[in-house]
Amino acid sequence: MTPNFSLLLASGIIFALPILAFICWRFGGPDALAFVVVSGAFSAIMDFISSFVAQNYAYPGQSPLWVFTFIFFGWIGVSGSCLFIAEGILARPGQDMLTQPRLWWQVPVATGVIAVLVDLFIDPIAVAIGYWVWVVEGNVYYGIPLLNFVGWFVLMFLAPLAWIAIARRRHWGYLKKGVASLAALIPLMTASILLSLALNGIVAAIGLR
Amino acid sequence: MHHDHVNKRETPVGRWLPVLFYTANLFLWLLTGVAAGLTELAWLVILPLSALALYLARTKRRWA
Repeated sequence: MTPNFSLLLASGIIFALPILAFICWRFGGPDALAFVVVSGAFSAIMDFISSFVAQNYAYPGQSPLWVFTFIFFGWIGVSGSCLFIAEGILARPGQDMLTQPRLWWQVPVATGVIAVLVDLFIDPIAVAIGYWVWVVEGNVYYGIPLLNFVGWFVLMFLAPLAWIAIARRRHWGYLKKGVASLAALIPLMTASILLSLALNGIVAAIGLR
Repeated sequence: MHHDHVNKRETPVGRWLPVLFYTANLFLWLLTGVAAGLTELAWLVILPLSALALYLARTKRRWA
């Protein structure tokens, strides 16, 4: 089967837009905007760096613009779908991730774990078909390096963590949430690099790749 | 204190749309894999489905 990159891009966009509409319906436009920035932009920037700077993997034959567009919408879709499953598992009746005290960190942790479970299913299929190619080899799971799963956990933990922190400010409007989301990008990038280094260091220390 | 986003979570739309989003993604990749003849990888779908099962069980018990 030849990979259909146009279909992949279209499905990524089609998958993300209803999730943004759902966030808009439940929480309002300012929180949907914040979600676009911290889940879409932050995750896409870090993933883009992983592909084009660190050269961990590549989408064969695809331009940087194609890659950024796909991962931008792709991460919104993955983050949103996993976030609400995590919330449903953890939130009590009459509460949600914005009102129940400890869910500000528990839901992001669960989102990261669920996202890894999703990728444990998706990645072997995508790699076998040729949607993306790992430059770094793995020795544990279908040739996929464990740094991939570390990356999924780190991004899908940090993005919801930042979003929940911003969304809990219920009285903020578009301007404040937009500025707060953009201001969060540098701390998020720094945290993701440090957390990835720590987790990948642990993985390497026990001889796994 | 009134929280509209909490009330919306406990509506049918609030409960079932996340299920639709999550399963649609898994189903598309499952379909893609099967179409490519990768049936030996199909069983891996039980990994993300375990989270969905937990979601359905937890939300059903609480809202029944």
